[in-house]
Amino acid sequence: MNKILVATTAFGYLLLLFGLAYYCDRRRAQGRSLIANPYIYTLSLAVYCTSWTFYGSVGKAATEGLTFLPIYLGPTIIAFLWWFIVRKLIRICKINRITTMADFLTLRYGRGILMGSVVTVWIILADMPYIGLQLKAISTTFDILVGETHSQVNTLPFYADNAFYVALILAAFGSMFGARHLDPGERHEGLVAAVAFESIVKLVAFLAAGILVSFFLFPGLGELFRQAQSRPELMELFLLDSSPRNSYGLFLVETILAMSAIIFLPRQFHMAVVENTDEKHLLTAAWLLPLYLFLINIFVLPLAIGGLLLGYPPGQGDTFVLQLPLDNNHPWLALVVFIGGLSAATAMVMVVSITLSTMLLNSLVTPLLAIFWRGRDWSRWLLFFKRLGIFIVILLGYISYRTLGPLTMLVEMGLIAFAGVAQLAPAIFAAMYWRRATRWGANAGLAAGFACWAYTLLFPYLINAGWFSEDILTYGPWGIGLLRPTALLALTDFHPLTHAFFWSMLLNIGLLAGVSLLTSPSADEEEQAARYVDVFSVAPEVGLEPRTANLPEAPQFMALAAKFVGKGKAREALQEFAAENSLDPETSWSDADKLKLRDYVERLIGGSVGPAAARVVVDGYLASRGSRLDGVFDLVGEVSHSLEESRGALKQRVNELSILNEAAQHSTSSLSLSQILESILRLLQDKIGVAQSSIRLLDEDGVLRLESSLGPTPLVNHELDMTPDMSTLVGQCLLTRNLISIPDATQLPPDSSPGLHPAEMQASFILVPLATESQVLGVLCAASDQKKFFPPEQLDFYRSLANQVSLAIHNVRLYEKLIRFSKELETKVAERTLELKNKSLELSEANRALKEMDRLKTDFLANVSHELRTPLNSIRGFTLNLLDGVDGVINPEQQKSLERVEKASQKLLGMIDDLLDLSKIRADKMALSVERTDLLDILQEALQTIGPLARDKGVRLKVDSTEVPPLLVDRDKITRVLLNLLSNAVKFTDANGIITVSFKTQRLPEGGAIKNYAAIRVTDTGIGIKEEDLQKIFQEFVQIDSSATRRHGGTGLGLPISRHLVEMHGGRIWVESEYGKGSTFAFVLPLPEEEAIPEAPVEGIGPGRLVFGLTRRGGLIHVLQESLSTLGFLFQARPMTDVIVAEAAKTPPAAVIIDLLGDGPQVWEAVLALRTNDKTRHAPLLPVACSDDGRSGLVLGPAEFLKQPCTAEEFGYALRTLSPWITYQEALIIDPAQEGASRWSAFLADEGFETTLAQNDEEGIRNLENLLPGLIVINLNLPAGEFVRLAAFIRSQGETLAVPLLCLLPLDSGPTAGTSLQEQFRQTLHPQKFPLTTFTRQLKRFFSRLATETS
Amino acid sequence: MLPPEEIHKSRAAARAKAWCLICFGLGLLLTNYPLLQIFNQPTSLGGIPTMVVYLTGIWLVGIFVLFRLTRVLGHYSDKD
Repeated sequence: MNKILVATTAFGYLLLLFGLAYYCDRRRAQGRSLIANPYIYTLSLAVYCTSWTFYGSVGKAATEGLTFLPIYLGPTIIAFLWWFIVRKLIRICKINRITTMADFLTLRYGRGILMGSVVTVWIILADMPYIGLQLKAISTTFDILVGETHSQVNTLPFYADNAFYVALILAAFGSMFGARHLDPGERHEGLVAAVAFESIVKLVAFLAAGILVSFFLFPGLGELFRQAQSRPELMELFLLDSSPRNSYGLFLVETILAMSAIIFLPRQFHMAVVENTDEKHLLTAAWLLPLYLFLINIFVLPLAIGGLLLGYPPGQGDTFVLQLPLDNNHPWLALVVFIGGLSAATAMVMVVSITLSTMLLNSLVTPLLAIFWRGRDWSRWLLFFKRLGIFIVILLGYISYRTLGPLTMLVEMGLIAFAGVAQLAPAIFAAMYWRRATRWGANAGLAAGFACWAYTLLFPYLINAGWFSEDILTYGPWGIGLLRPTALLALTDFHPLTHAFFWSMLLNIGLLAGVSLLTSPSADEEEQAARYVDVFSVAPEVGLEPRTANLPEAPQFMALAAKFVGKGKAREALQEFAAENSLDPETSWSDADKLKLRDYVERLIGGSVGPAAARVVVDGYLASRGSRLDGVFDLVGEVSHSLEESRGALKQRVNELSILNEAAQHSTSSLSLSQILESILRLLQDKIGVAQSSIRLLDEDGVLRLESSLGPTPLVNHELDMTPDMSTLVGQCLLTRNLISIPDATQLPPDSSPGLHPAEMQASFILVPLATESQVLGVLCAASDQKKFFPPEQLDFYRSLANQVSLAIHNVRLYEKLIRFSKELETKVAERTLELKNKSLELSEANRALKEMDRLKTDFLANVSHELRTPLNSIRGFTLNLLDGVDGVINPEQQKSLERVEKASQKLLGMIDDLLDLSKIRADKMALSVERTDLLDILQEALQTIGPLARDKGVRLKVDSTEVPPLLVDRDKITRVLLNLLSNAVKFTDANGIITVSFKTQRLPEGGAIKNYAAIRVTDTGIGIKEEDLQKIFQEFVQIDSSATRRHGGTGLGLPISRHLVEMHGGRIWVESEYGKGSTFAFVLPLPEEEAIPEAPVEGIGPGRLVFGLTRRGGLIHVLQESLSTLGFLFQARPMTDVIVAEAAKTPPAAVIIDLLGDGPQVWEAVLALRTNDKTRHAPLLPVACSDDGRSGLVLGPAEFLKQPCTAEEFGYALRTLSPWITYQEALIIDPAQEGASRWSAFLADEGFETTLAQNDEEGIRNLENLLPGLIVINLNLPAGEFVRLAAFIRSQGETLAVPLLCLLPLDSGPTAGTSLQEQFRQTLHPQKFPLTTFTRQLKRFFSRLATETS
Repeated sequence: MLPPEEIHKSRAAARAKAWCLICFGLGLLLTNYPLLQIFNQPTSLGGIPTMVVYLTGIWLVGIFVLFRLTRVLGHYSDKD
């Protein structure tokens, strides 16, 4: 073909590649990457197939048969492990910004310069011829295509050599797309795109050639092979182990070498690891690349066979691919094939030149620069050095091509390169998977491996190339047969490759392992080892750096980085770092963060200059700033190591504590024991994974019962109840309070009885005692179906948990006890309360009953007195009538009888009075109406009565008295006492006896003071009293000598009554007597203290303007004063009857107001007193009834009072007093007794009145409803209730309001009547019925009438 | 304790990994002496020599198995 055409095509193709690469780079800069997909990735990996594949495999197939296959089968087999191996490599390299294999090893094994440089040198050495091979292929195929042949390449001057120019072009291309800028990740998208494109081109070209041969030059594959079978020598090619050249051993070795080469060839490493954009792409590459390899190898055998069948010599097999189309009139296809071969070659050369240049730079140049140019800024030179490196590498390739012999030998070079690269595999694998590998081991292994490889492969090659004498090969160096390069230690009959592989790997791996174990890794190595091996699990920021002081700030670090990676990249990286660590670049950071940044920057720079140099750079930088490294590196290393462990332990502890915390929360969140226990067991199950757990508790009987259990097997309660003793494990645990842990339950002696359910003893279990300080509560059992589930470190945790559970149980039990007690207490209290309630009810019942009884008694007494008196009165009344001649004239005999009857009835009355008095006294119902009394008056009165009796009997009475001031006593009562004593004296003194009465004042002690007393003595000369009877005579119902009683009469009540009466006055009564001689009865009465004079004497008040009031009650006094003063009257209240009587006698008042409800002076007695006193007979009386609070009142007047029995004269007089009030001569008589009623009626009739009779209040009220009398006559013998009702009715009706009342005083004016009267009044008076306004109005009416009357 | 899906995932991933190792080993076995010798006969199948057929065959099978396994691996390795 036309040379120019071919050259132009080639050149044009290369330009196309340039353009593509440029375009892709631009797109990446814009952020729209074209190549970030798995198919491009896989195609870029196909750079594995160089011109050696393109041409060489056919040649190998033609000469050796199937031995070309392992080169491609190997990668297919190892593809199964790609995802694990390559992914890890990618991860490690990305994290640590590793861009070459040398850097990978350097970083891992101590960051020394040595390893990196050694590796770099060897790799370059191994790969140089490979580059040369590509150049050779290009030039040779070019020559074939254009029809030129050059027999000896070496003779040409380089400038005439096409290969030279190709080399230059490729170098330019490489530096353009591999060294445009310093990318710390060394990613070159344009390159990748170009390589991928080239992979497609070469595949297409090869397939085209293959198809041509198989289906066009020959009728088909089947026919092709059948034809081959006719040639026996060809059949050999389809078998293995037919010669030393295709032995199984070689087959295997090649497979293994290919397996390592697919990853560890520099171009493969770069494409697979460094240029990888996404780990996931590996998954596609793992099957797609083998497929590609398969496809590109389909037609290798057919091509080889075809060529051989067509008569080409096997030695020309390399060029069958080109020649067959060319020689068979398919020149264009040949051109395509040429371009395909060009693609294969250029792809390899470009990639490898960039890769090796980077290696060179990172491993050799920059460390040296960093050391020798320290202080100077050599970062600007980096790019230059890189480009220079590319040129140098390619140049070296060209040189090796020129110097290293013919083409056929270059093919061998391929496998030698494979073997050389394979030396890296042990060190790299150790770096990835074996933490213990040390730099010494790696260095030793690598050195030995490379040396061995060089000696057993490279050296023989050079010998065969003519560099050295062949004798060395046959006889060994210096004649040492054992050191023959291809037969070390007499290991002959091996293919050199196999031989070399064996020895080099043996030494490499052996030394790597041995020396690593003999040495120990440094702290940095350990850290890096961890970083590598655990790249998938541990976060990279583990471990501490050596302490550094005076660390620069973030911007300064980044300025350093910018020198190596450019400003833009540095800024990006800083932001990324800051974001990842939540730091603000503007602020100053802590030392720890700065150290992290230092690490980060070192890695960043390392991406551009290699880790060794980066370390030197950063250290140098820090040193120049004065940051020092403290010598605590080793210690820190130790610490970081043990920190790893303690981190784990800490995590564990935190877990345990959080579980304990949750347990505590559960314990306190409920008061139900079963809930708490269940939640604890659930915690164990969920958080720790305890399969079966249970809690047993001791109850009061000492039996251990199952309280709660959790797990796949439900445990039944009572089956597991037991009394704990030392024979069972459970018992032991409980009694000794020790935790029992059984890591392997199957190891328990079969006769031991743990006391557990079989489900709890599957594999391992622990028994934890539940106890407080004072008592043991039970046992917690935790079991697992795994052995050794409860490690010793965790047992403390279980103890803590058990403590909490114990506390919770204790608390719950205490609480339950508390509740129980409080309930019992409540019941007790309720019972008591009920009892008390019942009792109080009983008491109040009893009280009510008593009150009732008392009332009944009082009523009874009142009734009895009334009942007894009424017939008596009747008797007396009628007797008096007869005596008065009302019923007719009576003769003297009748008069005598009647007088006797009257006397007898009086006596009877007296006796009844006595009885009633006594009962009154006993019931404390006797009231005293106290007034000033002169003893002489009393005496005179008594003498008046007793005198005749004494005279009749012939007993003389004598009085012996001194002046005794007046007493404040109840006059009648004292008179009675005196009378009693006198009558006794008279009774028991015979005729001619003398009775002496004497008074005097006496001072006697009383209650600690000396008081004045009036002493009265009655002495007689009677029969006297026996000494034993002296006390008895004052007792009730006792009569001395009943016969004497009969002689002397009496009820026997006199003395007791007298005693009561005297004692009621505060005095004492006693008797002195001598039997037969006489007796002296004496009693003393206290003399009053000085009495306050109530109110000033009433002078200066006009006659008829004074009103007295017999009352003590303030309320009434107030009302009366107010009302009367407005009427122009002066009201004076007097509490005592005698006072009123006296004063009224002195100054005749306009009226005397009688307080019917006043206690003290008996109302009717006061009235009687006023009416019997001549001076006060005419004073108008106005009885009023007023309530205690002064809010309700009733004016009973106008009213007049008459004593019963009364004469007609007296009756008439009373009538006249009332005449101003009587409007018409009609009278209503209310008298329960018939005789009374008829009496009054008679009287009234005399006065010209018409009368109506009523017997009780009801009748009276009925009458009043029908008629309106001018006068109402009421016999106050009525029961008090009836009278009050009458009075209330009369004085509440408007018509009867002013009707005068003529009241006949009751015969019983004793205190009982008064009391019940008062009570009745009190009950009746009500502010609504008898408002005070009406009361005052009535008062006013009365007094104004009075005023008009008097004026 | 991991949730069930995680356990399933990690178990499936472990299974896939195991298969990878097995296939790798199998690949080595099938392409080496003793087994290789079986097919090392000067016979042919359909005109194509037995060894060629065999090696081509297992190669294709291997690619197919790779294809399926990498799919599985990719599915269960999402978390990484």
